[in-house]
Formats: sequence, C-alpha cells, structure tokens
Amino acid sequence: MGKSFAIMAKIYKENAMKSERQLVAHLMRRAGFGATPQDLDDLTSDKSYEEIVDDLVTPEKFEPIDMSYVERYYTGEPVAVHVGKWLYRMVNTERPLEEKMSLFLHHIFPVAWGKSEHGPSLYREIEMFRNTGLTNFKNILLQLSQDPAMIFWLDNNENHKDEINENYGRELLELFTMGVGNYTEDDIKNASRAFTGWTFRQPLSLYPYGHHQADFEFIPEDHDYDEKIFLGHVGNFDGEDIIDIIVQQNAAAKFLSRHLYNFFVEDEVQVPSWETVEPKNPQAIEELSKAYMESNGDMRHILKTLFNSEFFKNSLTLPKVKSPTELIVGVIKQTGEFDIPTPGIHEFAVTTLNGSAIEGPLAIMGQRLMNPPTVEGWHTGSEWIDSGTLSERIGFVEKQFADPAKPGVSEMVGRAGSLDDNPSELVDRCLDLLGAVNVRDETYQSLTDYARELKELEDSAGVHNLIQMTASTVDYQFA
Amino acid sequence: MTRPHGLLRAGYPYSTTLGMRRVTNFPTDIAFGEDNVLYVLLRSEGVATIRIWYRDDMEELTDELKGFGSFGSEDGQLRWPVNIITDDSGNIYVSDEANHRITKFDPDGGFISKFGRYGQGKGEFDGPSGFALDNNGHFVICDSKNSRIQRYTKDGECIDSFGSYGSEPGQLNLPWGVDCDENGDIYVSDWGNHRIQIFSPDGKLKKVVGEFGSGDGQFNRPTGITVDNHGDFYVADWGNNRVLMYNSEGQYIWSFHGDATLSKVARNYMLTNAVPNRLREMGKLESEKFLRRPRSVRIDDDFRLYIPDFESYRIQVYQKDFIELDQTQYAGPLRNPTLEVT
Repeated sequence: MGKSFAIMAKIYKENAMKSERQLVAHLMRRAGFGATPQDLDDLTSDKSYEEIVDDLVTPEKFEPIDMSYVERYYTGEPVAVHVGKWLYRMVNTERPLEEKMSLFLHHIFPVAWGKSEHGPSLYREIEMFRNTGLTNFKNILLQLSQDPAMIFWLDNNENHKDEINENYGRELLELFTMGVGNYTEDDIKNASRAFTGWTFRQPLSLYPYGHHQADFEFIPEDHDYDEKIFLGHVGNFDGEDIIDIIVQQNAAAKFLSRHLYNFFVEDEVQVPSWETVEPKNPQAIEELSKAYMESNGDMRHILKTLFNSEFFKNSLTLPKVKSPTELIVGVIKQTGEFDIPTPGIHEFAVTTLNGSAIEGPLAIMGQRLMNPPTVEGWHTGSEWIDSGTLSERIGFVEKQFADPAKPGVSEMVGRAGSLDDNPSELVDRCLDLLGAVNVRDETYQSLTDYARELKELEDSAGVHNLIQMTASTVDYQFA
Repeated sequence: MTRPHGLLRAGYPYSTTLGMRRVTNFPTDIAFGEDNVLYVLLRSEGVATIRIWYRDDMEELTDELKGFGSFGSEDGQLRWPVNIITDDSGNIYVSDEANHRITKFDPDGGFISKFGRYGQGKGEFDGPSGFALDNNGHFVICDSKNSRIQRYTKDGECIDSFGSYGSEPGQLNLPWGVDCDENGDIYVSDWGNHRIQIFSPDGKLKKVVGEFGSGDGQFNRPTGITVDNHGDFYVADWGNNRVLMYNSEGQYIWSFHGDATLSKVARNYMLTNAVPNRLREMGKLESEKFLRRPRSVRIDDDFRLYIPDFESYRIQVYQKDFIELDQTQYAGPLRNPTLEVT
C-alpha cells in the first residue's frame, strides 16, 4: 500500500466516518465505475462498508435510469450510439453493480455485432444481462440459451434434430460454464441434441423500414426428444435440463468463481490457460465456490460473499488493470461532463468495424463494446496494455482532465486546496479527490516533487495541473 | 379563418406512406413547402439534415436526393434539431436543442440567420425544442430545460415568457412541443408531466388535458403537437407509439397506431432486392405497420395528417374526412349524455 493511505487516514480521522474511505473507493471502482468525491463523502459518512455492499447487491432500492429521458436525446441506428447510451448508464446509474454485471456477462458471454449486424438483438442481450446479472446462474444460462443474439452467434439456429450443430453445446461447456477437462465429446453431442429446435423467429429485414427485434422460438418438430446421456445423467433432456445439470457441478461453481475473481479482484491468466494454470488464490475460489453451492448459484449471495471477504478487502494493491470501459467511464464520471445527456458520448465508441471513418478511444484501447474479438471475449489484465494502448490511455485521461471548466474538474480544483499547502497534503487530497487512488511510493514522491515545482504558478491553474498529472499516472490505470 | 359550427366526422382513413431507410432516416419533424415539397428533418447522433421530399414520394432510391443542413455548430449547421417550420414567404426555421438556437434558411436551404444562445436569462435558451408561429407572426418557443415558453419576433427579439419548473397546473417539466391556434392560444406538450397544457396568448392556463398512462387519452411522454383549422389537436404520444386526437373541447376522440404500407420508393426497392423480400415472407409482417416512437405530427391545409414515424424511417399520412356544418345542420352541445334513441 502506498504512502498516501496513512496520511489520508489522518486527514479524515476527525470526521465521523462509518466506513473507511479508501476501502469504499476500492469497492466502488470494482463493483461499479468509481466514485466522485461527493459520492465518497456521502457513502462513508452515512453507511458502513457492509451496508454499502448490501445496497450494491440490492439495486431495487434505487431508482433505475429513466431511459425515456436518455432516448429523448440520444438516437440513431449505429452500434456506437447504443454503446454511448450504455456508457451514459454506467456513468449515471444509482445501481452500479447492475451495469457492472452487464459488462461482466458481456465479457464472459461475448457476442459481436459484426456477424449479424443486427443491432436490436445485441442491445436486448445487454438488457437481458442487466435484468438477470443479479439473479442466479441457472436463470442467466437459460436466458442466454434463448437469446437470439447468442443463438445466431453460435449457430444454434442451425441446430436441427436431423442435423446437429454442436457449436453452442460445445462453447456452453468449454467457455461458458465448466472448462476443458470436465466433460466428454459425447456430453457435447448430447447437450447439442437437447438444444435442437431452440431458435428465433425471422425478424423483418432492415430494409425498407428499419430493424425489428428477433424473438426466441421453440420449434417442437425440430427438437430431438430421444434419450440422452449427459455428465452421467440419463433422460429425455431438453436445454433446460442440461442447464440444470450443469449448474449443479462443482466444476461450474469453480469456473464461475474464477471468472468473478478475475473480473472483480485480481487479474488472472487468460481463460484458455485455466486448464493448466492454478488460480492465483485457490482459497478465494474455494470460498466463492462454497457460496455458489450453498445458494444454488445465487449471484447476490456470491457477490456479497466476494465483496465482504478478506481477500477482496486485501486486494487493494493486487494488480487489476482497468478495462478500457472502466477507465473511460470512470474518467467521465469524475469529470462530470455527461451528468445530463450531452452530444458526443457515442464518439468514445465509434469504430471502423461499425462503419465509422475513425476509431474512438474504446477501440484504440482494445475494447469495442458489442464487438468482442472472438467467442473467448477480450483478453484482460496485462494484455490490455501495450505501448500503443498505454499511450492512448494516458493521453485520454490527460485530455479529459484538461478543461478546468468541466464540472467535476472544477469541483476537484476547488476542494484540493492551495499550492501554499504542504505538498504532501496537497497530493493526498488530489489522490483522494480522484477516487482515493492508491499509488506506489515512487509515484507519490514524483507528485510531491511536482507540487513543489508548481508553486510558481497561479494557484488554481497549478492545482489543476497537479490533478491532471495525478490522473495521468500509470497508477491511475489500475482499478 | 373561422371554425365551422360543427363537423360531420366521416372518418380518418390511412392514405399513404412516404420515404424509407437511407432517404428519410429518423424523421423527427416535417414542414410543408411550395410545389408539393416536404422538408423532412432528420436527426440521429452525429447526423442532422433536412431532406427535401415530395408529397407523392419518389420512384427510386437512386433518384437524385436533395437536402441541406449538416451536423455541427457552424452557421447553417445543426446538432440536435427538434422542429422545422415554414412561414408564408417560404422561409424555413429549425430549432436546435444542442446549439441552443433557431436557424433560418431560405426556401432553397441557404443559411440566412440565427438567433439564441445558451443561458437562463431573457432571450437565452437551454435546449429549445418545439416552436411555432402564432397568429401575430411571432415565434412561440419551448425553452425546454428552462421550463418556460418564450415568445420572439421573427427577427429574434425576445418579447416575453411564462412558465416555471414543476408539476402543478401551469408549471412545466421539459416541455417538448408547442403549437398555436388561430386565436393565439398556446398548446404545450408537457413531456415530463405526461400532459397537454393550453394557455391563453398572455400565458394564463386555460386547460390541462391528459395524464400518465396508456389508456384512452393518456400519455407516456408526449412530444409533438399540432392544432388544425377546426380546433382539433393531435399529440405524438412517444412512449405509447401512437398519435392521439382531441376535439376543440379537449376531449379525446381518436388514436392513430400506424397502418403503413410500402411507400412508392420502398416498393421499387423491394422489387429489385430478393433477399429482404424473402425475409419479409418469413417474419411477422403485421408489426411493420405500427408507429415507432413518433416525435411529431403535422397537418396541412388540405387536412392531410403527416406522422413522421421516427424509428421506421418513414412518414405515415392520413386524410381527415369530414363535412363542415352550419348551425342549421348541427345541434348545440348537450350538457348531459343521453340514452334516448335518435
């Protein structure tokens, strides 16, 4: 843990806090998309850490975003417009874990617009993730298996009783629920037979009057009703039966737990290596798997266990590189430039893959939302970073914090203090205002040195420079 | 123009559909020009333009497309346009809730002038959305995020304003559309409060119509509004995907849900594109006829009702069918409903 923590604790110790600020900031970065200084003031003064976790896993306590208000202003057919609306939700929602789980499920069940170019299916899939992410794993898998975007992506619309297509059955077991080594080729065949007839009704074509949604459809005469053997169970199984069997497997509990650990706690190796590389924290995976098994895969229980665990609270300094989405949303949440619908949010998401002439920051940083590269999704952690993406990331942050008139930046400058203050205390406040950022000792030293150099500048300009510099550190790139 | 004593309402049949994808994408409003011309205002994120179209549609998608205006903040450019109207001289005016201004074009689309700037003071805007010309030739403008109605001369001088934020009668919450009748009364679609409010020319509340819901006469985010020469008014009920019609007493009498058929240009397109035609055959075709998220409704001097069908890239047209009656042909209003056989 960096030097800033002890000094910040001193700054805030005289205030009657119900929860520890840096830990709450950590929670809000991982379970959401960060917090503004005012958010942290309110949360730490009003609620204990456990109460905040309760709120996160119970989003119904808070009003959802009024989408009629968003769609009054943001309109259009391109994927970037719809990603823009999603970014707006991530920035402004009072239910951050709901959006974070949508993103999590988009990571682990990736479907790309590029195959079908049928936007409405993609947007409905994200909505389905939003609605099911905090239910249970069985429900998530059932909805996923009936989702037209997924059905088309993995060819289950071509899975007929007299001509099996194994693509969905295979990925359901290999990439989505258990991982290689926990099933046989026969299990794949039988799972695929169970999903025959699970398809969607043909939507009307894009021309002449625009997209129409696709709806799941079960065609009984195309379903294989014969006996199947799956993971040692025998019966006339359909798709739901297969999912029932999967979610009872210890392998599924461990697989999901490792995904959750990778997404919320600490960067793991990429999924294809999980068969041969042990988890970084086997005890944490065991704890999460136990929570899964004792609750029948209840996501709220599992996530509550995760966020209240010691391994999560101790993960503040473990490597967890922000995804491009986490970085961009976190920044624009702090700068306050999209607190209300304002033109331009879709520009973060434009990409040549969707027909734009240019690549926006999400694309350059390597995460085209709704256009993941393969069925494996994005490779995360250190693989987000290369010289090009790191340069783009730091340049992006620097640019977004460059305008002191942005409401969030202006508030930070007003709260940070004066260049006449002790440089360490000034740096501490800047780190705190940017979401109680944890920095390495050498970064801390560089920032305090920089604060001293700024004393020659006019006060607010100098403080603004320091905030911008603090946000532009490599340390800020970690969640 | 004076209103007739009464109407024999014969019906309100569907007439035709105009436009299609690529030529009339996301039509947010429509205005009437000379010689059969329609100005269709197109808006989506990063796109803002005015398509010149025709009341009898066009034959081919490949016909020369005409239009003006582009996305941006420079003179003559638009970012988030909401309404388009024309005056007696054929000039064209467009409101823009992101650029906080009204832009004036000549009938050929050449930029003439603009007025308005961001702010909360007199003569300033925060998100000007719907606007109309009143019987004195003044602009009546929904200054949406300032929760007020402002009146301007055609030269852009602010005359007066009324309204404040809230949900009490007379107050406004992000008003979207506005129109004026021949008496100068001002009809406002109060988007955030799911209702229509009718004000006298000096801003006094005369009537509140509707409430939140999806039943007869109820609204879910009313957007555009227009009054015809009989005093009937029409409201685009965005959230319920329909247009509602009220008589001059403010009583709900009719709704339009959509009856679209293939426009001329769409018909010709489909005849030369086999795959989409096959997909139509496999899909639930009925769903194609319904309105999707209408943001405006307009009526011309011949009582043709135009509904820009925002998310279906087209305009649906209906024809009001009626006979105007004099006082010998039409009984006065009854205070009490009756079950007597007549």
